[in-house]
Amino acid sequence: MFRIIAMLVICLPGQAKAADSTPEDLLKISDRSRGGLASTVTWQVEIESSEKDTKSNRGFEITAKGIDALAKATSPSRNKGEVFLFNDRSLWFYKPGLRKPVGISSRQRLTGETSNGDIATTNYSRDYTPTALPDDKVGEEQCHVLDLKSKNPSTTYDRIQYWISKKTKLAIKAQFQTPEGKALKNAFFKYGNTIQFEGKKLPFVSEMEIQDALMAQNKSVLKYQAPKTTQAAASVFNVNSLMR
Amino acid sequence: MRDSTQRWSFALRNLIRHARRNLISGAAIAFGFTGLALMGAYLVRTDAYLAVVSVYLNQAGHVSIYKKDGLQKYLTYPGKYTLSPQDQLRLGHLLREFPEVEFTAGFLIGQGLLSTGCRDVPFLAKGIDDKKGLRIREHSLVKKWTPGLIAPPYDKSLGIYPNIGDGISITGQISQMMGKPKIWDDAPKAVSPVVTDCSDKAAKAKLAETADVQMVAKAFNGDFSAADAFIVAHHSTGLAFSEETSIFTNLSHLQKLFQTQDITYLAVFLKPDTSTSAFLDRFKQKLDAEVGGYDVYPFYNEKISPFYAGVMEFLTTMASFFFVLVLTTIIITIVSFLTVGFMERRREMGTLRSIGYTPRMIAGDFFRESTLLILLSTIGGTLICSLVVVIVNSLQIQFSPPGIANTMPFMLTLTPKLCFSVAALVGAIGLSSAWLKLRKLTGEPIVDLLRG
Repeated sequence: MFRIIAMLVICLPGQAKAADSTPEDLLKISDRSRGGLASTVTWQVEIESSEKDTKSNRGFEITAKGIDALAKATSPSRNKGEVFLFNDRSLWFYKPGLRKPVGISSRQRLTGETSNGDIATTNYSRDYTPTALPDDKVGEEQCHVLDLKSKNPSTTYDRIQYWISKKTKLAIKAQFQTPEGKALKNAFFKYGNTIQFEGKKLPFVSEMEIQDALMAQNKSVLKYQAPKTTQAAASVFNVNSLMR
Repeated sequence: MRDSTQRWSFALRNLIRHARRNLISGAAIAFGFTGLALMGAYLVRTDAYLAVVSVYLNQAGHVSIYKKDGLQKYLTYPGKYTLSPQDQLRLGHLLREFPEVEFTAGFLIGQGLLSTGCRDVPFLAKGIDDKKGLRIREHSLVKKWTPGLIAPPYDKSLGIYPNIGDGISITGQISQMMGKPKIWDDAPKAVSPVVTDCSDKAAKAKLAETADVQMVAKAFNGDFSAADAFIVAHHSTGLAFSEETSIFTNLSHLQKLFQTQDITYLAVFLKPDTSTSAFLDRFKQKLDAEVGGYDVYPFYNEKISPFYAGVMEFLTTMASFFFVLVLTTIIITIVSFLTVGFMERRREMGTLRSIGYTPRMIAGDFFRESTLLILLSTIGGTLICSLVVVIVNSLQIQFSPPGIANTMPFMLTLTPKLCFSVAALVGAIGLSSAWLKLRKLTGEPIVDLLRG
């Protein structure tokens, strides 16, 4: 009996580690540090875009919970009052003066290299089917590489190649691709923020740099600030409440 | 004077005297004239139809002015290649010096998505001032050449709803694709509810009941933008390739969506019967000398009206080929009939020569006969043509040539200019061949002529 218990004690952590390493679990873990949490989280995001000789800045305040997210434009002043609401797989846009929110696509360009879907939470584990590819290195970091194929047409990208650090289990690079695997954009992630979740400190994304795959000088840098867990009423994510 | 009148009267008497023979020659000339004139009538009709579609219904104007390289780049870099309010003022000031300009209108073009809430359709919208839009639609040339494109179901336009600031006109095809069959007049004056589940048939049916839609686009400053709209009218561009995307709306409504005060181009509409190419030359000269930095295009430029340019080039090439064939047949027929007629009258020429007429006098008399014959034949040909045109036009034949939206009426247009041109051509052929033959014949020895 003692031997059985001893074996269980020895084997269980190993089994847990093996489970973490499946493509699906790797995605679930990496999603948490990009906002894909079950509880309500808020953060600020500043987007700096540069394209040829033009530069632009946009700011949003994000409130997210599970599959819903609300992005309120905070800057520049002409965009204040604009709201993007992510309801499961639907995306709504509303600005003062509109009679009702308008349904839009997460694939449409928001600013610079940023698509509408890039500013909200990441739920790749729900939206994509992962397949493991041979391991690779990003800089000095050893990574698992996953080939993610979209499960439905409402996702922001059809296909993603995703590099997840073996050490931290955090995504550090993504290549957004066409269904045929042609590179559209490259994204790089940094995790300088932390967030309290279920009594633990989790690393949280602090920067996402999205570059055009062909012209790397065309890029958008999303800087995430002040992430924190909070409480929000369910009505916050109700599309009909946007007009009130 | 009296002598001249007597000679023409003599020619007419001779013509009547040989009525049977001349009737056959005249019929050959008249039918030749008819063939050429009817071919021309089809070309005139098609050219006028497509020109009106390009100039007025697709609002290219007779001449359109863009920012330098604007035509190629206005959709890619809209903020950079559009005409600012200062540009518009400058051009307006310059155009005032040209009295042949009937009016001008500024147009903004932008692309985006038109959404019902459940169905999105890409659009290429054109914004125009309501009053100018109405003026274009109600132009006499539109009513004359393309009445079918402003008749029901296309009889309503933005201009008759000045109080609906966000009214849009869509094509019948877009209406079908979006499942939005109703326009403002036929629909409840309400906004459809937000539909979160588009698989719900009842919700979709509610969307079809109202005339409201929403427009989503990237503004000229790069921002994401959206605007509400009510469908107030349906229109047809007349051209198949633009029927899937064409939207017309109020200029200020579109400027609000794209967050700009600019326009894409300024269309110049000329007074009827003004030569576009002559105006273009003079205007370009003045524009380049005084301001510069703009591109100017006539409506028949293939970059502005590719369909008009392509179809007319094809038709002109085809018509030229048939024209040469028909013309060759006509030349052979006319020359043969006239020659046979003259040959049969060799004895008459010999008799006239023997009583003292000079070859020149005889040739002159016969030439006058031929002139009268050709004149009467072309008048006859004009009457036959007019009859054919009336019959064909009254049959209201509709056909669908490639590239034309819906159908196009098969109609013929006979103009005085066309009749005179064809008559001049037929006359020139007939008279020159008659003169050459007569000079040869009347110069022959009297004995040979009297032998017949």
